[in-house]
Amino acid sequence: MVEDKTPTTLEQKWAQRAFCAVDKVSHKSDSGDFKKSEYLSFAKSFPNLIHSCGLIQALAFAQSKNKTVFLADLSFVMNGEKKYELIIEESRKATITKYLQLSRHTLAAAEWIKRYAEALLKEDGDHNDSCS
Amino acid sequence: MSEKNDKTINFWIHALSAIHVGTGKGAGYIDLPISREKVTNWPYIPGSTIKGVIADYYDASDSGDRREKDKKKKAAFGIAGDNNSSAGSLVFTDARIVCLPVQSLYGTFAWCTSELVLRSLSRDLEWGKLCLEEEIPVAPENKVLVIEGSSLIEKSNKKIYLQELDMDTQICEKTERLAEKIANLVFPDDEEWRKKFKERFTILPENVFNYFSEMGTQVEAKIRIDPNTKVVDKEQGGLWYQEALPAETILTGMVWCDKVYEENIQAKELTDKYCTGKKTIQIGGKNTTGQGRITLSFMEAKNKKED
Repeated sequence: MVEDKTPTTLEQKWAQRAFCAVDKVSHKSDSGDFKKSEYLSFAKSFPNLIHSCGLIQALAFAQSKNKTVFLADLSFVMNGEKKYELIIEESRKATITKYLQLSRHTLAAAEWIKRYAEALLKEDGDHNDSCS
Repeated sequence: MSEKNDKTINFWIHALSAIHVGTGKGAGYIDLPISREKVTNWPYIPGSTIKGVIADYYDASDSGDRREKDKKKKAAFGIAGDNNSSAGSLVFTDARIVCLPVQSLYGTFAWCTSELVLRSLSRDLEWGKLCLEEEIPVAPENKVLVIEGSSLIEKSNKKIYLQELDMDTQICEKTERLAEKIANLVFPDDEEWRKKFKERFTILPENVFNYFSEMGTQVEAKIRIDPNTKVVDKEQGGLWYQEALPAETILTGMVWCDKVYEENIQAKELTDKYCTGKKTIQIGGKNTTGQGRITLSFMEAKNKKED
């Protein structure tokens, strides 16, 4: 079968990456430093944290609380790679115009993670879709 | 039936508390967002909302008996229902943003606007014949325009600190004249507030204004308490986020009277009765939490060519 190379929209790209990232989280088991319920709770509150406190403060807060899985997923949705240190560094060094753009981009990515976390990380965890 | 009244009246809204005029449930990260214009994404208050609260202020919100008994109320606000309904002759436009208050390290908060906002305002005011008569300055990239003696500036480095952004400033005489004009329109009877407005008035580059119009609104996390256990209701307690325009926001719109279909009632009688003076009223939702207190001032247009 020939692969369809028709371009997708930016929102579709973010949605697809967020779905993949959160789907992986949903199949993870809770361990000492990771709990799915905490991931869901943080994913729900993070977009508002950006809105209320600003991007750089929100990212620094996530880092200080050791939300590395979430930050890696955020970076993956934004750039297709999990090196979240890059977006944190970029938020520190960006010019004003770039900072405003980065804030919107991060907020959009965080919003998609929130949506899929609410959909896929319900307490019963009962879902059949998976990201291949 | 009387002829329509072409005289347009501008109305000004000054938020005394946060205002939640919502759009119902949102699909974004805010569960209860406020109304925003589709193209600019700036917050606004729909004209129908304003007409509704004015009708309520004059005890004309009941679409049945009260309006039927009072022909003026019926003519102004119309009759609801599936049969024999009418829209009423008073036409309220949407109230559009003029100045958005943004947290400032100096001066507590800034009344922020942009060139595009001022151009829209000037166009509307000209239509209402309350001309601004000023050339509208454009903020250079990464700089904001303020007046001489602005209370928003750090004295040594001349910077402004708005929310998490710090930017260079430029003192601008045109900005000062515009601040004076707008202050006279919004606070016609209050010298002290005119002074405070001018000191805090600033024109931002478009991208920065747009950023604050999205990120500068008030978003509150809400939960529902179970009255028996006094903790979060496990079934419906939720956690939801609701957005509001912050206190001190300034918006403006226009009202005029279309053809009046009631006999012996002139259009001017309706505008003189219902669209005059200054009122402190409540608008929008969440009023039981103290939201939505505004002053609504009507200002009859004066055509400078006629004066």
